[in-house]
Amino acid sequence: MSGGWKRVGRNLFLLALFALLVGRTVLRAKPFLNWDVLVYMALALEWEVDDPVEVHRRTYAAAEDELSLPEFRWLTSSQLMRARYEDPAAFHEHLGFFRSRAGYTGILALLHRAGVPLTGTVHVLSLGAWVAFALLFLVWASRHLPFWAAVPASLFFAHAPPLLAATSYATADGPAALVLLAGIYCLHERRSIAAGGALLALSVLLRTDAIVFVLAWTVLVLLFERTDRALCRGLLVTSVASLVAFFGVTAWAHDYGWWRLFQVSFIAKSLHPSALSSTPDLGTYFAVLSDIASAMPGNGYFETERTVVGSTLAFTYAGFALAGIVFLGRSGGRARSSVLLSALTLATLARWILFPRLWDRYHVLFYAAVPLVLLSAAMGVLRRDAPEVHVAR
Amino acid sequence: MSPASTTWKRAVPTVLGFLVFVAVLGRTLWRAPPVHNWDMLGYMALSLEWGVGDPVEVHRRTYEAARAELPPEVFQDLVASGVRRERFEDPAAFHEHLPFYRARVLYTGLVALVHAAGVPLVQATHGVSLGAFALLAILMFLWVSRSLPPRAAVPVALALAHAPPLVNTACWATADALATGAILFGTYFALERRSWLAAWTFLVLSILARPDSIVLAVLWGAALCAVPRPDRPSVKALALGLAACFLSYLGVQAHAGEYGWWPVFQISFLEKSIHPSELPTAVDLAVYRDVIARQLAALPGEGYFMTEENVTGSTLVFPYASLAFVGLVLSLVHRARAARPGAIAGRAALLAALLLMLPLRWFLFPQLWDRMLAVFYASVPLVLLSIVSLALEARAPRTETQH
Repeated sequence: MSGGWKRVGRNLFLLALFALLVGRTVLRAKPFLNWDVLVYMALALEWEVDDPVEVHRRTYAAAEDELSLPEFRWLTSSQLMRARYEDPAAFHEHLGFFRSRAGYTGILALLHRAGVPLTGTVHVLSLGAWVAFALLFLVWASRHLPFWAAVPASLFFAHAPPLLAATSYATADGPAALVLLAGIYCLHERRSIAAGGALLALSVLLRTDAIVFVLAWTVLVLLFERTDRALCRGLLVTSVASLVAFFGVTAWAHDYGWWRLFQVSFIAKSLHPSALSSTPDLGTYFAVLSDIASAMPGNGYFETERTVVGSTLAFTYAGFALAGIVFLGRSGGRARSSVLLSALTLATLARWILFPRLWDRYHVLFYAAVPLVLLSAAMGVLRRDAPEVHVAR
Repeated sequence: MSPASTTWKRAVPTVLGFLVFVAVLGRTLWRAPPVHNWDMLGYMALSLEWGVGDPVEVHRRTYEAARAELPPEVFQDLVASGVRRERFEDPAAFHEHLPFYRARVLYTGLVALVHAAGVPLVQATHGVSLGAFALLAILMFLWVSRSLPPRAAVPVALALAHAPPLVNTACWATADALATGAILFGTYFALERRSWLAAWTFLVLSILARPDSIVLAVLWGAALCAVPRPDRPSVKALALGLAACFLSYLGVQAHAGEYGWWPVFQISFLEKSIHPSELPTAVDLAVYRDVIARQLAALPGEGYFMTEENVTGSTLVFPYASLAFVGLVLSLVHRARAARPGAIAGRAALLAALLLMLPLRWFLFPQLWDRMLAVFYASVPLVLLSIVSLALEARAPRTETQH
């Protein structure tokens, strides 16, 4: 057998192994039932049903039909959950927090129309996003490592706890982070400005707070990498498009805004969030921030009554990113990677200041992107990737 | 500018960085929530054993201290039912369980010393873990400072030390943090200071803290054979170091009256036993295969592993393994072009040993518990930093010329 065929055979075997292990993880993934699942089901139905009472009825009917009895009982167990179950208006009032994730709920609606049970759509999408993450890791890693090394490296990276945790939740976090990462890949790795910019702007339609990263990256590129005119122009256009998408979708969704979300998340749940004040109370805000900061690092993990939701791993990844930035500075090149690592870290910090939780699913992008950017930067420097050094100057 | 003002300009950020480091580390230690697992009672008893010969008296004083120093509900949980109740009520049953921990003489000895200095017994068991974590963090700072300037070394070292598995390990009353610290000091002296005597001394200490540290010592010793001189010890020194490890291992095992691996495996994965000395010591391969299959099937789960009360571990070991693997590939590919290929090879040998240790330890004790793999979580990033720093050394002259 010739060397070429041998290599193809070996790579196919590795690919099959990759598919097998990814498939095994997907098959064994257990969906974690949080109350948000009902909201996303309702918002998926809203794409075809206008009447809020009918949306409410069909949402709970689907949940009762498709979930086990204990699961359904849990979804109506607390006083607030019960009230939303019994009162379509109260339920409908809560949807305003989530409606702006129109790209996400639109995909759910399409999946449901394709025959996936409504409760299953959210988990199918989260799992699908994780599989796509693993594939993107493989594609990214194989640009810098031999294929035999890229397969285990990407498989291991994909099994990081924050990424696995995102597969089990019914949220837009995984899919939104995936689209952002794909955008970063196009812009940073492939220099495909149009595709990358489009993906970044699209991510805002899946989770509006994706805009934090888009803006952070743009500002840092404009400040520190003005010589890369194509990237500057691309990111500027992307930021404008993202801002338009952000304001458009939040206006369309009648979003309650940041302060009301902050109040229901950190102060007290509310049956009537529209009645909450929308003007930030800075005293309360700083008191919450201080309480949460003082509880860190604890034992390294953050838990709710039911599960582990996050950890101090964000600190460690920030340490990796900082070390990478220092090394890149010393090596005299790859300014683009330093700026991207800084943007990822600053966006994570900004998101924490806005919503002070180090929950895994909120920071999936950070956990996914940092190792990959570091990998490509390290390999680039060690290969004496001259073209980029010129760009950086 | 005068030399004095330049010195001040350099000194002020360093001193400030040091103060920040101490303040953050102190805050973490102060706020670390202690985990009151049953093993704590075993370690309390063994630390008392250094001064009390009578097992009945050791048992009495152990539970007396636990009752006095722990919140009532925690104490109740430690004596609630099953084997816990039996060991509480029967000193002989309690005493029979201690050989599982007795070999960890460095840990129990330090707990005894801390207790003798006036620290309550329960706090002493946690105090040693917290102290080991503090030393670990300081060592991380020293190690990182060799590759990065102080203003970057402080946050990077703090960030690496606050990895969830390391913070978690600091909260447990077990010998894991101490053993991890000792191994890390050993690898630091070997790789960064080329002091093999100090390195082997710390490795021997790690075995006295946790005898299964010998797994890494042996794997590393074997991997070092592939490293050229002078970045490894002579064959004679290597053999002497390994012999010291083996002797200390055999010594503490004999001292402890250990039941061996299979009884530990049985009480950990099959069923708790009131009389572990009566458990068979011959391995039942069919049972072993069943347990391995069961534990393997539970991977990767949702990314975190928990008991009813505590988070015990996570799949973080996979991305760290990926980092180690990438570091190894990077070393092999770029070693030839580096200014000091031998130094990179020495670090690659440690990464290879750490990577080999993972499956080996997992097959011996199939859990991905943080505290058992703490040495992996502590070493991998430091060795990687060191490799990248060495790899960049070769490129520095050219970069300067370009500028």
